[in-house]
Amino acid sequence: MSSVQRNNVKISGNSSKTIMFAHGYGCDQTMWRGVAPNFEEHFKVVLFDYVGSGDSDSSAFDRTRYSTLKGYAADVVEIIDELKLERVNFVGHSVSSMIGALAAIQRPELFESIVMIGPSPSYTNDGEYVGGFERTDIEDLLEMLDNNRSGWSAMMAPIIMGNPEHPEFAAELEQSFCKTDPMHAQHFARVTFLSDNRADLSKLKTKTLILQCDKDAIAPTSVGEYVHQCLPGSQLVMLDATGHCPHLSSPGKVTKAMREFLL
Amino acid sequence: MPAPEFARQGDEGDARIPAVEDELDYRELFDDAPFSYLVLDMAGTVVHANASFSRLIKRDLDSRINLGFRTLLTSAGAIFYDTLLLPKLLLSGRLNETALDLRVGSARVPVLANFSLKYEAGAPIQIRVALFEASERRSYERNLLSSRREAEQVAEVILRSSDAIITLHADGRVRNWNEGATKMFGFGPSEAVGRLLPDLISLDDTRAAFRKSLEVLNEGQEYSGETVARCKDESRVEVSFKLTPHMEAPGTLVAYSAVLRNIADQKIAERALLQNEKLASVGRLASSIAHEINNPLASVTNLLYILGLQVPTPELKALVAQAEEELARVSQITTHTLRFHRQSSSSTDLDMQMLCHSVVALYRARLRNSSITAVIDRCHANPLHCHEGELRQIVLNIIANAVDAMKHGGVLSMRCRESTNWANGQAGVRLTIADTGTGMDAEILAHIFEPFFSTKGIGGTGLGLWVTQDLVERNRGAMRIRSSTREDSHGTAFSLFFPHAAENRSGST
Repeated sequence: MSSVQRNNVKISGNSSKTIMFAHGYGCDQTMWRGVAPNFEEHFKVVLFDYVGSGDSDSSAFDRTRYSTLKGYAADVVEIIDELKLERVNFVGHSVSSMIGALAAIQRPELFESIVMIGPSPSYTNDGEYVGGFERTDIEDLLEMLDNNRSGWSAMMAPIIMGNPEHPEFAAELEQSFCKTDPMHAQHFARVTFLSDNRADLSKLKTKTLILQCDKDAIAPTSVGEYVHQCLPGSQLVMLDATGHCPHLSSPGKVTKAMREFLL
Repeated sequence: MPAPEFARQGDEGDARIPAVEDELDYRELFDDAPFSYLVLDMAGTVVHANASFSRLIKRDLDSRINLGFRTLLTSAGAIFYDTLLLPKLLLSGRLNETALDLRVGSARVPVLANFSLKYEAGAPIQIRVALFEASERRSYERNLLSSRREAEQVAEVILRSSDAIITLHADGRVRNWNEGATKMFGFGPSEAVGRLLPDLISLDDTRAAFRKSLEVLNEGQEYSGETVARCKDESRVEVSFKLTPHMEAPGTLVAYSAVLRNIADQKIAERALLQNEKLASVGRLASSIAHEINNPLASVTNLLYILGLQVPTPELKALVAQAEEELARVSQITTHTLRFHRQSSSSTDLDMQMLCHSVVALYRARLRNSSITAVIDRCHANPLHCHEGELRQIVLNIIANAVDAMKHGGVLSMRCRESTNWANGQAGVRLTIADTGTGMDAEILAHIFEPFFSTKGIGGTGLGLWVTQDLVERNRGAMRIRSSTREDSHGTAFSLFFPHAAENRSGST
């Protein structure tokens, strides 16, 4: 099967330079809608969904292949190979920062740069390293996913367009966001939050920008600084934004910081 | 608490009900609402909350609120909020019926939360949250989910079973059709569901019997047996089946299930067994005839020799010589026959317990159909150096009789142990095979080792125990039988003894 179909790859913009956006855990490529269009003028913009997320082909799910982040990184490389892309500027949110790093370690020649938004090489605490969570928290999370299982199938929501004061009026434009197959959501949660890729960071030689937000409960500033230290030559930029999803809450600021790095 | 201000600044409510505004106490309406209502800024800090919320989290919020919503959640809840909840909310503007746990002291309060965004100049500036306590609903959902998982597992086992497992409506229409049934009969679930099972797989001449089984089921009884069924491609398959009724008060059949197993392989094994038994019988028959012929043959040979010495003319001498030659050929044939009977595979070390298990496995279906329980005690005997095929035949013959004696169920028990033959002090293995069947009276016992003696009518050859006795003797073994037909303790026990080092085989000459 073609990886373009498997990962629901969407391409826009037409330029010799390529920018590829990779969504984080819990969402799909729709999370880039406030940022990605801003780059269509200067880049060929590539969006995709990981297998099990969004409109990917969930029949391609292979528990063993995707039992580590390397499986997801292999998908990224396959997409790049299949589209014959070169010198890709990879933008990864959260867990995708590490997926992008793994792909660039495996095939450095394919990547021009990496932008990491709220990266964390390990979400769980280990000795002196403070990832922010304990393993039991992750087990709790899996239980929460169970509690919200029924909700996922009905996660249909109106797009907000044209009438932001009254989003309910946009109901006719219904579309789903962050669709996640319940079974895959549990799997991806395990892989995301129980992976430890700290040892891989030193192997990454690609030019990297780290975008860090204040008050990010998932990837705290100390973790962003840890990644910055592990990647000599990387650039750490503190965004004037809070939370774990600045590209959703403050897309303008994310766009600006990225432009300064990429253009 | 800034709640009243918030209530009045509501952006749509005021405009619609201006006439009654003065009559309503909005503060009370807001504070005592039967749900918790709060407003968060985009960083997740609570900026407004009603009294119901304050009661829910058992905290006094009269002072200036400066409470992070995430701190009310568990660590897992915080991850969920940032990775799943917030992105969806930001993309879609609202989110309903999200299950969260609030930390209240050391306890957790399950709630359902509805979220919506407030926008200003196209950008989200506030998150409005309504929380409903959902303890009962949550435990109910949890039970539902765990029973669903269990049901899925059971369904999976049934679906993948190699036996055909079919559930039926009371009138015989197929309700569920598993993969085993598809493999066995060739019909897919879509072809089978809704059809009458007898029409689907019964042969014309067994259909009436199938219908009759429904009468038994209607009385709440199970019904089992063996039959030949028809497949989609018109081929035949031999199956054993068991029909189990599902009754509801007042004793009404509402559904039933059918479990069918392909017994073709078992039938082939049984036929091979019978063939083996026949060959062994023929072998023994031939050898005993040969044995009997040998003696008179020797006499005749001697007599001819003496006669040859007395014959005067060379012509007559030639005739006698010819007769001697022909006689030698007869002798050769009998010797060959005897040798053929005696020859068998080479000896091996045999674990008696393994032997018992393998024979019981062969009879599994018949044991089950007759509701017989097989009990094989732990064996504490050393391996026996013997001819495995012969020992197997012995055990098979005895168990076959035991099964036939327990038509209405019972217990088949087998035990083996190291033992000594008290008659000659030989060390060996003693094997006891006992059944709780009908037993045999003294008259039958007196004849059981005679060839062609059978109590089974046309079903038996009457050669089984006759062959068994021969095989026991050839392995230098000994066999004793006790049997009782008393009402309170009926049954038969075979006690077999085989010595170790039985290499010097006794023949039947």
